[in-house]
Amino acid sequence: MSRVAILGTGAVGARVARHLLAVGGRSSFGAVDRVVLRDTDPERLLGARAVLESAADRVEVQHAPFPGDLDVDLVVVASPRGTQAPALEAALEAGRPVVLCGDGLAETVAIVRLAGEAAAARLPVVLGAGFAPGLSCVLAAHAGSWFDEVEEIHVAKAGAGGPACAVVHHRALSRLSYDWRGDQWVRRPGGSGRELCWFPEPVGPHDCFRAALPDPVLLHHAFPGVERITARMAATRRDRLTAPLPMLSPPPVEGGVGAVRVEVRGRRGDAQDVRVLGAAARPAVAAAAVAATAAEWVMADRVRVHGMASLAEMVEPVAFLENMADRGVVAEVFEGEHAVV
Amino acid sequence: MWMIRRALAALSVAAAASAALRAAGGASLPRQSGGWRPLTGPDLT
Repeated sequence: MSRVAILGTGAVGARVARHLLAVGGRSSFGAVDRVVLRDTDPERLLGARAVLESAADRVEVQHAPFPGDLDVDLVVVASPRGTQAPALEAALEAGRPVVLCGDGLAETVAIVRLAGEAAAARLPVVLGAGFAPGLSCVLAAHAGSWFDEVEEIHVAKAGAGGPACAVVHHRALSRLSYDWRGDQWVRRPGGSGRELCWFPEPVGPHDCFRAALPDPVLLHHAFPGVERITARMAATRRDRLTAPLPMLSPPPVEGGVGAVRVEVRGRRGDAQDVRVLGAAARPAVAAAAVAATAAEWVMADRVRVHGMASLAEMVEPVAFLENMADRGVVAEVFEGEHAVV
Repeated sequence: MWMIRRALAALSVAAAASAALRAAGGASLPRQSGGWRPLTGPDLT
């Protein structure tokens, strides 16, 4: 009997539960028998339970104060920023594998510090199992397989998922970004470095800027020999102008269609080449599909690392992307006449 | 003083012209070639 705990039942967590409880599709290793939903907000818990009405008898709801024990086979952490590192510590203490859906740079760095404990316990801990990081890491790994030597990886993303994701994005534009360049981290102000990125339709072209995003940290670990790794996010003038201020209006319950775009440059034979992969979807929907698929891979023991790593290291990219396509998130490639847009 | 006035006037005209051009700018140029297609095949190429 398989049981999965989902911490946080926002835009991503509730959908992860729905994916895990569903049966069918060649991506599914078999539906999870029972899902335990944990959240501090009773309204969110009720909303998640309503979404899972058809499988209500397989859903257990736990409201704070939570029981001390965590009698599950795997923990999916989809809670807001600031709560993920303590949740991971508790899960590691309980000896459970973990899938984390965070997208904040500071929290990702705090979580990476627990890598030693995860490795010592030989527990799979999937770091950044969302849209970006997450699907972006898998796309980078897949694009990298085209090359004999990968020299540069540039990630860009557009759009935000639920309110917690929107807050992280808002703050990211006013914080320092970390790019890997040569053999060191280069800190640059968020909101600088405008670059026009052409995302898969229907998102299309957007100006993208540096921001405090965790993708370079995760990708540098997966590709230590790559010379340049950068991450940018799409933003408007208003986003950049108001980034240092508190959010002037409450974030939407759910963002619109977003996209990720991964540009990989390198050497193939004697030639320099570039591959641009991407995907367009509502970020929370895609993040939930990634997290659920990652959870299934961990439970089926299909992951490559029994310790902490991003999806770029954890999974075989082609099979993972096929599983994602089964869940409606289709990876795309940009084909031009060697015109990089 | 005359130089300062003249410089400020020149800057004002430049700012007004650039603002007018920016406001009147048409739709962006459509992409001339290339495009996105789903990854297909056993190797997803």
